Amino acid sequence: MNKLLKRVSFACVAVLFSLNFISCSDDDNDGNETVEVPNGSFGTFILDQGEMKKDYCRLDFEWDDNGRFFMDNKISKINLGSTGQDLLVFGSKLYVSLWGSGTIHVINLESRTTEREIQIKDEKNEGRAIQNLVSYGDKVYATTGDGHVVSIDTLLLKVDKIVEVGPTPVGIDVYDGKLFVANSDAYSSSGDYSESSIAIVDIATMTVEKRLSSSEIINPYFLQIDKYGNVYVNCFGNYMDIPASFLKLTKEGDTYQISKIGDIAVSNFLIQEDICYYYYVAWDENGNPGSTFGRYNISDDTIQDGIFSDNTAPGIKYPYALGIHPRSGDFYVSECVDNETPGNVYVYGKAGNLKRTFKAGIYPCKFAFYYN
Amino acid sequence: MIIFSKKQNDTYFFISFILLFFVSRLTAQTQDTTKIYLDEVHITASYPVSAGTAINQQLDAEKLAGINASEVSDAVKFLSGVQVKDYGGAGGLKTVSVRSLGAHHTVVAYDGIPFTDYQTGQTDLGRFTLGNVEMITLSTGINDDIFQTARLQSYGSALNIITRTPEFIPGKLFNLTAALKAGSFGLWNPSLIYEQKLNHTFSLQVTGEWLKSEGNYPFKLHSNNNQYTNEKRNNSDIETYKTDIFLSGKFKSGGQLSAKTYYYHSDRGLPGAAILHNNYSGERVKDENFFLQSKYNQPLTDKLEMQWNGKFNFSSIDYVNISNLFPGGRQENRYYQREYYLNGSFLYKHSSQLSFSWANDLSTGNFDTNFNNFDSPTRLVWQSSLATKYVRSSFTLTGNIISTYVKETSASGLKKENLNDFSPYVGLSVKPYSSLPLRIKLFYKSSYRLPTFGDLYFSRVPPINLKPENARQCNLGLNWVNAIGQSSGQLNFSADMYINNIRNRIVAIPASSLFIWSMQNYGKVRITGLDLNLSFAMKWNDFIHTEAGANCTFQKVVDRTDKNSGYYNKRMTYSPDYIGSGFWIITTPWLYLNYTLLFSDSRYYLRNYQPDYQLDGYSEHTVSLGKMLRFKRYVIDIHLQCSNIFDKHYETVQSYPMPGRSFQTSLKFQY
Repeated sequence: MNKLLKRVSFACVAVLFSLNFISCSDDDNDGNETVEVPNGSFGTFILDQGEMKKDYCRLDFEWDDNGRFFMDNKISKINLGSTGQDLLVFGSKLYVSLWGSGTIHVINLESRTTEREIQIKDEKNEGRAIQNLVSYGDKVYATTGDGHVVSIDTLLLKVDKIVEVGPTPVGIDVYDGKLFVANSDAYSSSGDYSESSIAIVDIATMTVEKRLSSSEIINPYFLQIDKYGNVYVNCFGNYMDIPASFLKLTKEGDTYQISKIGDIAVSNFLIQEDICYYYYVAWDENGNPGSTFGRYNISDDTIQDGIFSDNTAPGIKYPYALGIHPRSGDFYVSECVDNETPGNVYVYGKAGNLKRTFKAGIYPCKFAFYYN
Repeated sequence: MIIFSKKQNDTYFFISFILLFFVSRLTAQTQDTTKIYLDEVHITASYPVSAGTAINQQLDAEKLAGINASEVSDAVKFLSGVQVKDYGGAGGLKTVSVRSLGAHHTVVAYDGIPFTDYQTGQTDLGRFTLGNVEMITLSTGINDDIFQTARLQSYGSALNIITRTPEFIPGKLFNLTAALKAGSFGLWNPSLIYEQKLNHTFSLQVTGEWLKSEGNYPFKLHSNNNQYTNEKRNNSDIETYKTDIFLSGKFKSGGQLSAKTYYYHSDRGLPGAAILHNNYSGERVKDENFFLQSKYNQPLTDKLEMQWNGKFNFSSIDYVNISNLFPGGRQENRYYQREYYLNGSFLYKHSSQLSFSWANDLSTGNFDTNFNNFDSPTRLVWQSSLATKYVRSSFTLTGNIISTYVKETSASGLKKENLNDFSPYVGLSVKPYSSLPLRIKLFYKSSYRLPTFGDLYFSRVPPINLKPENARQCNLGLNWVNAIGQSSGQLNFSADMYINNIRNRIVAIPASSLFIWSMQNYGKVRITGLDLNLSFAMKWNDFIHTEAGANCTFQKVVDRTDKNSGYYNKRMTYSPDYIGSGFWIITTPWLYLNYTLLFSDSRYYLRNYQPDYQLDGYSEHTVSLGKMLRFKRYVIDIHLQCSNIFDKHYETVQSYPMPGRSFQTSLKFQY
């Protein structure tokens, strides 16, 4: 029995060790091609939002070397924090807004290193959740989840003014010395989004001039203004009896005329010149997403299918962000998978030809193009 | 300070097993000189370990005392194949996943009657201290004892927390245990157990417990430019009260009755994820749980036995989030749930070899919140199980089939298609040589986990056709139990290989904005694993007892959803290559010494297979020593413990740091 016992113990240990070695083989490393990016090169930034209440928001960079493209998922020395929302290139700097961390992370575009982390906190030392960004003059403005718009002095890189605008503001844009802010009321305790509005802030005095509200403005989200001064906003509705809609606000005298654009629902949109490109994601009974893409022509008030010149659309079930390259006119569409799997970016030519695709991070939510 | 790198961690793993090997050699050599061994520690008669077809593991009272655990969640880490998702600290959520099936596939039962949670579908193990726990058992597959409720048998695995039953030595009418625990980060935990013999039939047990902890332990936060800052957990305090009244009766007819009321209250802060630049947390939760459960067991004839179980459960959560995000500066939510549960089981022993059981479980419960327009749902579940067991000296054969019928209604009408499904279990255990203490086991089990009401009713995009998630387990294993010498000790070795498949995984994805999300059935997962267990107990000489053991799980958890996707056969998140534990208990007449080890390989927390998205592997070492003083019928136990002695900083859930080194002392008085 003694011998047997020895043998058994020995066998156990031997098996354990051999297994340990077997299991150590790692075949999982299939990351994107990474290269050393020289300072000052041009390219596209992709913001990977990460999950809410998690700490892994990341910034990717697609480096453009005269038509040769390289991905860099390794601007990882820059640890942004939690839940990225928006990107803004302003001057020689990139501004990144973070919801969870309550910061605006300012990155020097030449050296691609952190210039400043502007922490924006309230009186109780709770971070103000930073949403979307816009620039005007020499200032950068940001909506904050606690119902404010903050103004950033871009020389000193700190907050110089703050104004209360309404509950849970998201989209922000600027026209003719005025900020337009979409107050989503997303945390509406009654669930009816009754405090939804579009706030108009006079930049000179940094005061709310007007709040537009109507039965159409329910849960407004992103906001953008065309070159004529028309305001576009997508509303998600109350997810029950009031459906999602896409609104256009046209100035008439002192007030704004609110009208629905067609019967379309919009998750996200992007206006370039006279065309507004949009997509909508709907969920079927099994909980699977499906997308529709379209474009709205501002000059002749018509809606066409697809975003490409032949009226086709990317076959992406769950798009999460849309971008248009300022030089080539290429479409950048991001695809979101789930909260653990990196999303993808698809780059299409104007005619819908797929040029390339690459892996980004969790929920790629925004593109910023850096071209002087 | 010592911080282990991954390599060093491997080294420790190595050393642990060398140690074990060395010790087992010692065991073999000393067998000739040892004559007597007090084998009082081991297997309780009602839970035979090795003859069954499934994997049955247990931690008895002595073992629980020896593994430096103060909560059930600490203890289960020493069971093979178990991974605990721990959000850190006394108030942090702790859920258990067995063989990587996920928390929803393990049912947690209290004295054999399952807990249910309609909202989350999982049980927080952090709320059970070990004060009056006598044994913890974990059955993967189906318990050897087929006389079980259908619900307990219907899950992938069942974790049963068995509390102590009042026992009185002749001439004693009451027992008293009073204990006080104190420790780092403001921990205070007094508890009292009083047991009274009422008459020849009935006895009563009353348990009371209070726990308070600040939980503001230090941790290191990864900040910008690869630097680390020293931070402390914030808003992590917890205060809980628990009381338990237990009436136990043994009738002359052979019937047994137990009735238990349980009340638990906790008030805690949720520190939230450790996030860069925003240490603020204003989330607070008040939990309330009351249940009344009863069990009655009665042999009817020599061959027929019946058992009735019943439970009424009420629980509520008051959640407050004080944050500038909400209009008015705060968000308040209330969640309530109620359940009525009844089980009737019959056991028919046809002969000493063949037995059958038939169990029927009926439950109905509802869930409600203070949300506007919340479609408060009600669920009716009827589960019926038919099981059989055939035992010969050379083999055991177990079979079981469970039918599940679910009907779900809500305030707005019928919401879900009614589910009606069958899940089978087949198990075989063979003793190939009558002279060898070896058993080979084989089983297959299919089980379902229903979507929770949280999955179904919280998303703003209601998934109408969300299907139950299905888990199929196949296991092949061997178990060797060897006596060391005549009666002096025991060596136990088991190795189990398994392949588990999960289909229709229930996953959440956000829908276009931060504020809403969608649930869907997505994907298949395959888990291939090997669980190894080695333990022994022996008497060193007339004074020194020692017991040691280690277990290790090697596994590959991979995506099997879509052959064309880049993720096919790639690993899932939070699946380390290996994870395990070890313990070494030395008992002498003067002192007792315990050493425990927990270790894990690194894990990806995202499916981005780069080192940036990895949680480092870790090993946590804990030592304790104590002394037991006996004076007539009084026992005083003094215990000192240092947990995580090398102050290893690690996370089991990304952004939720675990505590570093901490100290604990306890004083226990027994009469």
